[in-house]
Amino acid sequence: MIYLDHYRTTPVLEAVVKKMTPFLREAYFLPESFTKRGTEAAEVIDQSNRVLLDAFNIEDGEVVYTSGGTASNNIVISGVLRDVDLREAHIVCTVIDHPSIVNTYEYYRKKGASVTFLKVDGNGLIDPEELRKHIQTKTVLISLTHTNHTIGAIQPLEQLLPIIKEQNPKTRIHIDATMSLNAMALDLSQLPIDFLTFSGHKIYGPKGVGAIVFRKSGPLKPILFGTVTTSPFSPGAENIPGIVGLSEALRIATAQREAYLHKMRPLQERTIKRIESEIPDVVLNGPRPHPEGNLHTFSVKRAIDNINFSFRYVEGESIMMFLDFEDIIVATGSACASSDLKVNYVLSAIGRDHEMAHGSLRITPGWGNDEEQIDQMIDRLKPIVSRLRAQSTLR
Amino acid sequence: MRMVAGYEGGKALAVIKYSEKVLEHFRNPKNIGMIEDADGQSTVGSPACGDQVSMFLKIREDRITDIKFLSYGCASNIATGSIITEMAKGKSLNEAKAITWKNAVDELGGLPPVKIHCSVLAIDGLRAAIQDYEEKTTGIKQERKVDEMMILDELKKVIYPKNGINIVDTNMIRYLSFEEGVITIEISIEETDLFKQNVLEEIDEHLEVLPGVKKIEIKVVEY
Repeated sequence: MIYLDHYRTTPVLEAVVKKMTPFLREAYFLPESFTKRGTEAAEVIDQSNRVLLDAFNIEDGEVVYTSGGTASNNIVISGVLRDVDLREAHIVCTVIDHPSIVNTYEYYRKKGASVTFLKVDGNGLIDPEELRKHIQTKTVLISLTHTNHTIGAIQPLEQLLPIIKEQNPKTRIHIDATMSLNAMALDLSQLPIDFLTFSGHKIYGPKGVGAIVFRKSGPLKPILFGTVTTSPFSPGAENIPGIVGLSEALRIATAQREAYLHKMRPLQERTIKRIESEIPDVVLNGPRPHPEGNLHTFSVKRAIDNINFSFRYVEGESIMMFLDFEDIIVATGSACASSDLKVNYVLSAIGRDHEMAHGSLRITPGWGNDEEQIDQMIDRLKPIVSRLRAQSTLR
Repeated sequence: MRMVAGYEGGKALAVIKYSEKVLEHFRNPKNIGMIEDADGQSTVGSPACGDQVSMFLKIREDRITDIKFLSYGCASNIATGSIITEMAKGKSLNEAKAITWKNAVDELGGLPPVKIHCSVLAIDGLRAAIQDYEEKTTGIKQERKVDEMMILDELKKVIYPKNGINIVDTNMIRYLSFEEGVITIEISIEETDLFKQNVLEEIDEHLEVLPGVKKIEIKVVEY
């Protein structure tokens, strides 16, 4: 199998499994006061908290564990808005944010909040001046996906966030960093982020666990109720194996970033170069990686581990399935492959017409890939695309 | 980005899977290509709505002697084109016209409900190619005058993905009128229905091509 769908999910690292296993078996206890095993379990969570806070360089912060990125985003948005008079509230996100943000914002729009869905340019990036215009005195919350899940566009937070705080220091800033953390550090001592959300299974950790990291002063209100042991925002039994796995995966991702960048860069370069030179009528979706871009700064506009192409005259589900027959796994933005037959909203938002969005493939390499696998994938992709084009009604 | 079926209350979301037969016809479609000197041909659907099918027929003594198709579409679209051309080959025109969408789907061992739109297109394409041939040979344009019956026939081509039955027989059409080029329809579908937009767009697609239709007004009602 050649797995090139790491934006969908990643395998759990061996080291992470090792770290988790004792907590499934012998150390299966839950946090509890006064008992030896209960306090040990609480300490395990404390240690995980420390790992998360260190990774984001924030001294005085809080950590909430959730069931994943979607739950994290929901708990932040609904938690901030819980006691707010929605008719007086204004909230801002972009049209290409993850569905767990966009759909939650849409829910609050229907409930009476005033919502701005910021437009993006042809590369999926926000115009800073457009952002400035839309932060008002009643803007209580802005949610931004740092690295876009479809086209890998990276919003320049170091440029955007000061604008928000300048316009309204009270606006709370929520950043979804789910797709960023393998390749990029987010330094909360430098960036005025109020809530940072992410997920375990995109960073080679387990599924079913995510987190919210935020400053102690954060105005979050609980939206889930039950037995509170470690955090009022996530009542009920703690997912200790998951929490341990999440923090270990983040610790490793942080330590391995340099190596990750060096591994991904030639894979991305080769994929883009070969597809563009060997397959006619293709369009790269999202920003073009800067050939000299310094990987350590926010001047990078495209994630190092994301490639997204539209292949004209063919439909993406067909390409995806033919690759799948060969045990090569990628993703498509085709409406045909979605549950509601709607065309991919991210690709629409960057101006791709229906046909272009239908013929899109998202190729996302990871730790397990090498250049040989990239070559194999492209060697298979070429005849598939020409064959489907030969039998297409178009062109 | 993966295929997940529509949520049905109480039932877990099911991941869509194609039957072996669909996969086989998708991998190795029969009768793919075009016929340069076709006696009848058609192109239906549009890239904007996701699929397009072209059909080409060779006809001798009212019998289909050769048939080919091209497809811009997903696996189910290609597979249905393949099976329908197989079914129609060698048949008389009347027999071919009688092939229904259901016949094709049964022959394929079933299709996921959400994929019905793609499979109806191939049937439309076959019928349109036959009509093209008949019009050419008789010189008579088979254009029916647009009336409410004809609109209803068109609406019967719009399949409700949740049950795989067209929206007319699903009893979703609550009101229909056609006056001075304006079609007015009331359709009963819930605001939160996953397929609402899809159904409405398809109604538009089917009706806007009818001659003399200037405007389509669709009202969504929840009763």
